[in-house]
Amino acid sequence: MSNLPHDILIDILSRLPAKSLGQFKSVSKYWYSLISSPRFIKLHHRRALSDTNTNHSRVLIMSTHSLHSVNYESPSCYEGIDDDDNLNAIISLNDPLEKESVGEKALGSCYGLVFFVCYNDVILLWNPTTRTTRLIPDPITPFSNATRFYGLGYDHSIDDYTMVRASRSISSDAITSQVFSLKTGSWRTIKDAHMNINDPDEIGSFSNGAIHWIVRHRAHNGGFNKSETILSFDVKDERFLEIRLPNSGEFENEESGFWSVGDLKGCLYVVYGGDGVDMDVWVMKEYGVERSWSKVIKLDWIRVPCDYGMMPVCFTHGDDVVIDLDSWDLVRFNIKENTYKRFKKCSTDWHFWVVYTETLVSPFG
Amino acid sequence: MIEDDYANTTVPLPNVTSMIISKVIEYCKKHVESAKNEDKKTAEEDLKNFDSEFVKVDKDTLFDLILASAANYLNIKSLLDLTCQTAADMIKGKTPEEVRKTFNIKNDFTPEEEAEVRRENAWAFE
Repeated sequence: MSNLPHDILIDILSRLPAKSLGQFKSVSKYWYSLISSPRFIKLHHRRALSDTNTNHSRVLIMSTHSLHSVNYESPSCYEGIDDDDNLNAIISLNDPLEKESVGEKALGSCYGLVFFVCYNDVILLWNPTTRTTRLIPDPITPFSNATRFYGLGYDHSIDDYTMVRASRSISSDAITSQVFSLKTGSWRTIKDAHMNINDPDEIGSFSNGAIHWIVRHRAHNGGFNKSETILSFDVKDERFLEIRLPNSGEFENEESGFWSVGDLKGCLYVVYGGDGVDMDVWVMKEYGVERSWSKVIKLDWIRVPCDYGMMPVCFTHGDDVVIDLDSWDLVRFNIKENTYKRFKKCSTDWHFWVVYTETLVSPFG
Repeated sequence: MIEDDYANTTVPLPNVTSMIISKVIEYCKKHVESAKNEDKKTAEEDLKNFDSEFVKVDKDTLFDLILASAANYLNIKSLLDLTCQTAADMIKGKTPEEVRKTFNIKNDFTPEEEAEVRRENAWAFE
């Protein structure tokens, strides 16, 4: 069967998981050059992101002393299941930061890449699948220390990942920002945006072509201001916009809850939760249309054993939702049946988590 | 697919056996019938079962089906999709050596070169 046409071989190979492809590079010189080609990597990347048959995503769990990657679809993840499946349900990874001798403050992800924001404003990009790392050079313009925020996005039109680093001025309403393109390997300053926002989350979430952060409106009277909203940055248009949260009239008197934003199955979502607060997940069914916010999950905090708060991580193939409890545990929750399964605990203390997709993409673009 | 106007025209199909052609025709007939079915839910279930049985063939027949469905004059996208996915599922868990046997590929790496490629991609072998 060595006479399979080139295009057909590419079609077949582009459906394989990244791990298989890594092994198959050693099949022959022809297969090696085919799998390593930028065109193939781009096709495989696109397929992995839109595949409805197989799950190509995993949850990365980072603790003080350990780093694990979890295939949340595999039943071998659950507590009480002892069989060791060949799909490597939970794998331990070497900390990429140790190699570079930097300490991380926060982490985020976008599709196939994970990024770490480290002390001294150093940023490390990492493909957890191929283990390739890239330290992003410092931008030339130093920022003041206060209120910096970051995000990683992907521009489909040019097949390039973009790192965004922004800062809100202390004295004015200006948002200064720079973008780093993986392909060009350099920072570029974006024209200042002027928006009445304050206190942004440090790490943004990518969804629908834009990076999103929860921010607060500045209080003009200097008083305590709890009016939150979403700040978005479209990676293609390079524009900041505000998206209002769902009608939060009911939350005005809640002091203990907080908003978070992310992506669930391609839709922008926000969750309001916290200590003793029910978890309400709202999904923006039509991106950009504020009246399309719909409450899709409502979880009484009493049902699921947690002390501090719950955060949805991702949906599974069968529409169960993986939830993080107290940055300590993960559970898989079946909404219809109101039941949940605990994941095996990989670490001995609390953790950060991000979702990433297994691809061959290089942090070098 | 062949337009109504050309229903009675002869289409040349070199290098495709009559066995493969009849299988392709069987596939197309089933899919056309299914589209006419009023009950969409059972039609979908039924088609899914048909498709998974349809690709339970030996490797050589599978590859012949891939080539036939890709043929420019036939260009049956859904069959190409189904057969390529089946081929991918077939090799997913195999070792590089097993893949060479399946595709009848000669290993043109020297032992040193192969070791180097494996080292470069150690993450895939973990």
